[in-house]
Amino acid sequence: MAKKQLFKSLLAGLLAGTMLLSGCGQQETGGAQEKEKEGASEIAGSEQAETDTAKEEEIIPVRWITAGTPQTGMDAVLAEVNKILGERYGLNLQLEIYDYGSYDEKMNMIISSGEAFDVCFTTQSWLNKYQPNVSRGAFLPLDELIEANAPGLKNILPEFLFEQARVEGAVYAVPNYQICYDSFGFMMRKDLVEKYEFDWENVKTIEDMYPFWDAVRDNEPDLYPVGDLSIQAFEEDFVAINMIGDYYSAGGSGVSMYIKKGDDSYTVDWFPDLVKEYKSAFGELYRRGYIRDDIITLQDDSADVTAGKYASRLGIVKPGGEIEQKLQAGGYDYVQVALTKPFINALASRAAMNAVSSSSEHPEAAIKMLEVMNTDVEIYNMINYGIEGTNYTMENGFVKEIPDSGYFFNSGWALGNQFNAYLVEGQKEGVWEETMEINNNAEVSPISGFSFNEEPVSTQMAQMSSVAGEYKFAGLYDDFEARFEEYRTKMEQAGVEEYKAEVQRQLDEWLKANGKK
Amino acid sequence: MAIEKKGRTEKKKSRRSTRIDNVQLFILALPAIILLFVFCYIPIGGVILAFKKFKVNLGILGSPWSGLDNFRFFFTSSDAWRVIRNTLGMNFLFIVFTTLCSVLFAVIMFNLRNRRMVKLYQTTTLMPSFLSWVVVGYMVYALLMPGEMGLINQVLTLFGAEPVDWYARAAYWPVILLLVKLWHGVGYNSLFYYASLMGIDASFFEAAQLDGATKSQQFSYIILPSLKPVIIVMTLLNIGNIFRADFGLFFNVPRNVGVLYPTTDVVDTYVYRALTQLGDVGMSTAVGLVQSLVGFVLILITNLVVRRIDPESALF
Repeated sequence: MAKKQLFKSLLAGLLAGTMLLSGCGQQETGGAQEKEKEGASEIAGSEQAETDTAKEEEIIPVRWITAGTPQTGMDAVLAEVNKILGERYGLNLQLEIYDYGSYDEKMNMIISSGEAFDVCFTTQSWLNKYQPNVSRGAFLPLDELIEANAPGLKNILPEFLFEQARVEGAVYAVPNYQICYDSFGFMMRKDLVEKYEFDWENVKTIEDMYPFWDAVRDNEPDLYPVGDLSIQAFEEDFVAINMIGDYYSAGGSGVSMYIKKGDDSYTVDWFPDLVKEYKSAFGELYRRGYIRDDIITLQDDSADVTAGKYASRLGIVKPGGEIEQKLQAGGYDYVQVALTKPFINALASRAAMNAVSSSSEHPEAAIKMLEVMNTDVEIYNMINYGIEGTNYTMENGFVKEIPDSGYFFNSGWALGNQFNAYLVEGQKEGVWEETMEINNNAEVSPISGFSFNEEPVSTQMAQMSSVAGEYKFAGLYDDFEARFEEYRTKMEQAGVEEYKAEVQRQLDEWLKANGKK
Repeated sequence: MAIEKKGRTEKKKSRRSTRIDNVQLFILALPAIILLFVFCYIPIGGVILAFKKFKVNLGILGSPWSGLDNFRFFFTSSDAWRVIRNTLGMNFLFIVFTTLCSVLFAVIMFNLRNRRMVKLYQTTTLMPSFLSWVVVGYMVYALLMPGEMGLINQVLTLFGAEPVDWYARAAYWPVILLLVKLWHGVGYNSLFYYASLMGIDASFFEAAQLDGATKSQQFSYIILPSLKPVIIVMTLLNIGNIFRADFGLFFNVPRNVGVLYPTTDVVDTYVYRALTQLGDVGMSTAVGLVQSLVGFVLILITNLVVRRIDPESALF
């Protein structure tokens, strides 16, 4: 008998527990609704209750996911932003920021699981990759949406941005207007350059850097003579800086495809012999002791970067780059020198874009939000820097961060039109104009806008990616010669020739369609 | 003997109270059953993705079929053989050595008289199991760092030996990985064996001692036979996972260094490396399905073999 009672009370307890849980759930959603109402009425201001509900319906939430440093004071800033957004455009921005390390994985999960969101940050080859997402149907085609809901985008952004964003004829993301050209070069710590009286202004080739690196290697045991803006890509960047003079990149992941400049037949190849030469040259730098010993096993060097431990760094050189470097790398003053001429790659504008999700419930609002972000200077800067007086102050027209105020996103290039950003203290006056000027005058790839659809060769690509990982930093090993030949054979086994043929086939078609062949 | 006892008590109970017993036990097990159902049975439906070209906007059911296309990526790759060999080989080593060491450790603990020391040893050996592989990866890195930064290389140079570039020599890694795995897992695994040793009726040992059995005779006639079922069950479970490598171990400890792939690249790391680029759900599912099928077949075969040799010990 006692047992039966125990059973009953157990059952009762279970039921009560369930009810409690579901009750809580209901209460919570109720609370959220109320909060939303509160927010809405705040926006509506002193208007009457009946118009209140009407207003509420008009304001459409837009869930925007982006990459960057998460900000603790985001809620306060968004509340301010949404007041203006609600009044001006009937939109409500729900911004989510994930750090660069986890963004890729996060987006992969969100997209694969079909979770509803409106806008997300996407790039060609860095985070949340554009093309694989387009081919798996994650993004909406935007041409008609832009025409109908956001004509302002076409007015403010140059046409070539959209041209480069096209995949098989349709635009799937709005490129963020920013620096479009690549110009490789070195950043150098000014104090060291002066200390060793290095003539940095006349550096034309990599060899010209040797005296400086020798001096640092011999006299500064705590410093590394040279690093890369992205240390994991040091070898690739080194190969790229050598190739860029005579070859156009034709895209490709797992392996980079090139076309020789001045080659009217537009023959695509991966030029393994050249790559071998440059990888071996990279190994030479390592053997000379310019590159840190542990580069092969290194996974993250951000602590060394912040401590300013690199005497020089290889990477993209751009107007205002010294200041950016100073903020990022130890507060030292930097000088920069470009080794290659400004050049606009075939898909340069895909470096930072924002796409509308196919799971979006209000694509019209999403594209409208994108238009606002690219055209409304006030809102854009609020999201970028926070609230004036709370998160930053304006001094002589320059933004000055209020430290530890909880919000200073300062990654305008991830949000929209960077040329709308207020200048930050330390930036040169006219830096945007200068950037735009170089954008307009840089050499443009003759195959600008050609985008390779990897779908037909995805098996080969997956295998080549794996091989590329295995032979990363091959140049640093003593048996480089044998190692590289192994790499070549394995790439061939993985199907690099078929991949190449497919790139060539698509390129020929594209050339024909664009009247270039 | 144990079975007999149970039978007798069961007979005493009325049928109704047995049923109530069952219901109560069922309720106790319910949360676990629900979890199992939600996380292990429902997702099985997802295997159809292995045969589909997954499109996010069309959903799982709406995506077009693609036949066996997704399987091509793994099986046509030139590394497939190497990766499979590493996975099976390393897991085989792990199973054999983990079992040996865990049983040995459990027996040693069982024979220790000082209970406080037993607790101390067990806690110490158990600690590593709670460390995430990421942390372990860095600990191993501190030991093996290249040049003269790593602890082991410092010791080597102290004795006048040349420092070894551990992260450039693939041949050392099966041993390194095995040692790390043992250090990480033996304490935890030995608990299973220790628990079943504690369950042995003490009168067995008393009787054996009275009859003058030596320690080694006690080991082979009492301890080993009573451990046999646990060893077999544990091994069977491990064999079921033999095609599935411990991703944390194989990814974090060798630090994803390319030169080491000839001995450290396993199915999971290979797939991870190739498909993080693509984010192709279909291809990953295909490999996962193959891993599960191989594991399933291996369990069946092993169980069959066990049943042939010793029907009592077979799992089913």
